[in-house]
Amino acid sequence: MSYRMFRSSVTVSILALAVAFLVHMLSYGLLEQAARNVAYRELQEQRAFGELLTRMTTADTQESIVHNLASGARAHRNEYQAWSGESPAAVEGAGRIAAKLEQAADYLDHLPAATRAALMADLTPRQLFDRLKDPINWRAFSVRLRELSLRSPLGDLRQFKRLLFDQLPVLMEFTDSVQKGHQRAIAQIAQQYPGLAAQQVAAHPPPDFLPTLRGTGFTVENVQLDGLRAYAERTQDIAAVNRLILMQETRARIARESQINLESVGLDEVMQYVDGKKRAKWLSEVLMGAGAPKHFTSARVLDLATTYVHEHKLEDAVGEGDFKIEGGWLGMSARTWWLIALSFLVCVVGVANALLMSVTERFTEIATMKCLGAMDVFVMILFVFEAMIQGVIGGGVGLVLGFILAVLRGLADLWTLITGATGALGEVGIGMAVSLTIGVGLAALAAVGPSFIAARLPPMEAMRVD
Amino acid sequence: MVTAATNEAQADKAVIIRTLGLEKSYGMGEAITYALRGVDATIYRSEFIAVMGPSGSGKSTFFNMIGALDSSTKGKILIDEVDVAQLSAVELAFLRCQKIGYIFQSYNLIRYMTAIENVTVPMTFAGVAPEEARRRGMALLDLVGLKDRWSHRPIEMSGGQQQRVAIARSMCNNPKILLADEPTGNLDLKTGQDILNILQRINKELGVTIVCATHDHRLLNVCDRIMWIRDGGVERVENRANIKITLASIEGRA
Repeated sequence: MSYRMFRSSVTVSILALAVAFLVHMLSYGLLEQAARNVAYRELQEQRAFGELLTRMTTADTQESIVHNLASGARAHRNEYQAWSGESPAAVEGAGRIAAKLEQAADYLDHLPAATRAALMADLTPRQLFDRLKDPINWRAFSVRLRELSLRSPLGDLRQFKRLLFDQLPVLMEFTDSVQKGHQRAIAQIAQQYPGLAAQQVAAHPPPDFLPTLRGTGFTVENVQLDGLRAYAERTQDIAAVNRLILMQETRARIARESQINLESVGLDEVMQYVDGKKRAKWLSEVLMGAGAPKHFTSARVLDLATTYVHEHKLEDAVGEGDFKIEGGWLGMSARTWWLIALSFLVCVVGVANALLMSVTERFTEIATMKCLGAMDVFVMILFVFEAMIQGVIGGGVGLVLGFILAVLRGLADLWTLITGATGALGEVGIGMAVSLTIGVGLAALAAVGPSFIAARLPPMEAMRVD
Repeated sequence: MVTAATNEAQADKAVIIRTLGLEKSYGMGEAITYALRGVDATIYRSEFIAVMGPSGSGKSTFFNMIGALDSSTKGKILIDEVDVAQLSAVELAFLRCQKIGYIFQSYNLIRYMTAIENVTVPMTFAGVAPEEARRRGMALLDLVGLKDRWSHRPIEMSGGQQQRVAIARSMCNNPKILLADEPTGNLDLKTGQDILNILQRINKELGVTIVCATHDHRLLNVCDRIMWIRDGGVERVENRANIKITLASIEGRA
């Protein structure tokens, strides 16, 4: 009896492990994605402030104008229309050309490496487009395309040619006028607030700040003035802290009074070092000693450090470059799916083996039941049912185990950002229900073979004496 | 090979099991081995027949055949005038459930069930309602003298008690035939005698046909007829009355 308990618990643990693996992968993927989404949104807000401040001092580059036009964002189109002085229809037309250009560049960027090298050497798509304006280069390019039997960018070579030779110059003319308009706007702002950098203006915004911006063509409908002010202040303060820390004397003092090496004293290290009120007070004193303005109190320093570290975590979580939702079903890669499928295969084989042993062990019992009038179907159901109960228990244990592991891993990888992922809990719940069903289904599947053997057992086995 | 004398003596009784040229072989071609070579046997309603024979005689094969547990290679088995070979799996299950009760040498009770649960198992297969099954089960346990032990598991009972539970189980769907395979084989003299007494009571009071494979010579005192099987055939069949006289010669021959 205890032997059977042991074997049954082995079956349950195999099932629990398989379900735990699935649940872990599923819920970790979902939680991670949700956490990254939250982080991305938070970071995006900060980046928007930064972008606005940059654009108040520097005109957009040609590439970013094309990109913004192609993305079709309403705010940018309005700005460009104001700065270029063109009609809405002209902006719309430029947007269409920009979209085509991006499409062609995207196609070339995503060619297989070898093909790409053969077609355009190490040029970027934009460089290639510039070169193709020369008819000789164009002819060589179209011959190369045919040799590689490649589809032309935009699908049709004539359309691509029209884009390069007719439409691109129009677009370039438009971007030039946008840039000029943008520079005029920047000059107007500088005139309005003489002697002040954009950050300083934003940190203490005058009452007519947003109307002035709007007057010069900026789209500022979505800008939260409070957020912008806090961002500008913080950026200024961080820059000040950085400047002070890098002074020879302060560096030496910091190295002396903290556990940071002299060589590695820098903004990152110091900000991470300040993790509580005590250390914030210390840093505040250090900065004051180095001639920091009065508002660098310990509370302010702690706030700066906390926000700084938090923002770095956000950046780590979101990753470099553009944020993209990871491909694959339920956010899992093909490799993960293979692993899960493999674990299920192992699980089914293991459970089938355990059940087969259970059947062999109970030959006499099964045969006796058949002598007493049990039908084949009854015997089959008996074993499938046993397996399914094991599936429910194993699945339940696996659910808890997998979820706990996913949360722990999330905490290790993404720190407290994972707590922002509560929005994904509904999906995780659905994933868990699916996993439990799969676990029970696997157990039932594994039981089919052994229960078939049990059902076909001749009843005269019961007469055997051993 | 049934003798003319016994044939005439039993002619007026109703037949419950009849075998016609029953053959069973294993293997093929050169390696073929016969377990049974053409057995013609007749078992009558409400009789108590003992089947005897040395091991390897084909006794067990014959026994499995008339219990509808195994199929024949050749020949027919008629149970209650029905050819077993013609029955579907479901009908066979019905036959085993309703018409035949089985008693095994090693009792074959289900270990994790109590006595009353063991007794009621075949009734669930027959579709009897739980309360009715319990009532009938308790009556059967009373019949075998184990009423107050209904809640015990096989592991808590002696061999004799387990076999009595098994007899109660075999009786629960009011079968016409009881097949007992060495029911006293694992028991000591006294408990073996108790079991035989119960079987005899079932035979006499309820009129159930009992076929009993055995080596136990005490069975000669309770059975009506004895069938000897040797080398895959029926060697002879005798009424008990005839045997007492020739007992010495039988002992001598065995």
